[in-house]
Amino acid sequence: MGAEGPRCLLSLLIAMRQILLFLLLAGGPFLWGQEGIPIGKGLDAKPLTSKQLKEVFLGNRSIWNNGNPVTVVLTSSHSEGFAKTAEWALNADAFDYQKHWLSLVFQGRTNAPVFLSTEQAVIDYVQNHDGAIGLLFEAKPPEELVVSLQ
Amino acid sequence: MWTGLCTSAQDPTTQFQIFGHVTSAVEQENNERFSDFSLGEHDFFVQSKITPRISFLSETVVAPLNVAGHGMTDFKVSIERARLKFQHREWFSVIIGKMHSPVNYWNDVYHHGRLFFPTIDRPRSFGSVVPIHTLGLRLQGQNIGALNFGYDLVVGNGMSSNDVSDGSLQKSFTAAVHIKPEERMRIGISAYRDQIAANSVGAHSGHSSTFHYMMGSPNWYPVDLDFELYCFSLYRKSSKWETLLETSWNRSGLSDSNDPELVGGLDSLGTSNNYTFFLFAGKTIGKKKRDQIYGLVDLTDFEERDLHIKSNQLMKFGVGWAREFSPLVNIRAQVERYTGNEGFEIPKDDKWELKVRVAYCLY
Repeated sequence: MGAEGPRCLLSLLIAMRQILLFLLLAGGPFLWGQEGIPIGKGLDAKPLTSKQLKEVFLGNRSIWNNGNPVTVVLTSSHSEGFAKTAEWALNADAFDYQKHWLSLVFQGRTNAPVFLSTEQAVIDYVQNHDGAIGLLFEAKPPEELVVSLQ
Repeated sequence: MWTGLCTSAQDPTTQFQIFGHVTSAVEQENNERFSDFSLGEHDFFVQSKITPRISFLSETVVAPLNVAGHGMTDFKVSIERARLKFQHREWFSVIIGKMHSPVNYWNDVYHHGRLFFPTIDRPRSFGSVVPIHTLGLRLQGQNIGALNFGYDLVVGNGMSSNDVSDGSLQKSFTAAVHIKPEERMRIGISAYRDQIAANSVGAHSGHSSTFHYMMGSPNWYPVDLDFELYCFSLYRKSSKWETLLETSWNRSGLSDSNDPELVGGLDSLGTSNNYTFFLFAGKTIGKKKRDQIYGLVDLTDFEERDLHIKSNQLMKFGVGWAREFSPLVNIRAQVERYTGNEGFEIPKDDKWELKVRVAYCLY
């Protein structure tokens, strides 16, 4: 009888975690206004706001507060994910978003994003690089990489 | 496309690009007509992330020897940017090397990439007052706070130095700040100060010597000059409109370092006040939003008392059309009317020009 209490509490916590994870994966995108699931590794401990996340994908952030460099990881400029990211971040099409990055890098104000051919490659890259961040639209994100958002 | 940016998930990463352009022009000047096809600057751009916090960037340009008029006979190679950047935080980076002086939006954003230029030519202030490069040390902060505030503080070799080094103790100073209230909007002001030794025109003064007094030319005095430049820039791009305003106020006068006996006849000139004004406004047209029609106004006003830049009141008006075939290739066609006022050292322009330029970027 004495062990029932902690066991119930543990079950409750696990259930709550599952619900939160479900909300994050399914409802989160609706809440923060973009369809993709942000994944990252070695980012700030504090959850990002929607505005902060957008600033990252606009190339306006180069260093995380923990000192890791920001590396934006995108799928190819012909991909659907790239177009969706462009629409969400810049309110523009893939054409303009590509020009945006080309210009920023040429100015020397930010490092070039990493372009990879598939979302699985994005996951693999993020897993191996502290400070890397990407957006997934189709691939299932590994739980440990999903970025916490406010 | 953009395969040059793909990595195999290995650091460090380096990317190479080439920016270039080909131009064709038809001119009518004082009842004479000219036409030509010309190869413009070809810009080899390198950007490398050496370590997570240290990056390198360079632009090596192969350019026509004389970019003004029809005297282009050969090409020269020039390192236009070569800089190493250490980024500590968003609000603090240290940059060392040769860079474009961050005095205005154009010089800080477009550099030698014609692909990005909103018009075919740079504003005329670039051939006169804008100190295009600085070789030195730069402190930079960007995207600070809600307004995305940014600053640049630069100390470096001045306008009279050569491309490799500077033999004088005197250095140039630049202080520039900007805000970005919207993603594609930037408002900036800057102040630049230098002492021009012996009224010489060095490697960083500009890419055209048309406006400068040079050794051997009439009314050239080898005196030290205090040179100040204040700039205001405004850039904004919306889904339909793109606007760029570049203005500058330049003051120059005799420096205290001159021998009073040698400049006795010149000190009554006082300080000259010169102004430049450039306005570009373009409207995106078409369903695909790949075409733009635009207009431009480019004015310069330099006083007769100026000892470094020949006096002038010149005007340029233009209208143009641009089409982007891809983010990496565009074409512009521009009709320009050059005119001005008589009574200054640089005579009034009287010229019509039709220019077509194709600009591109290769990976």
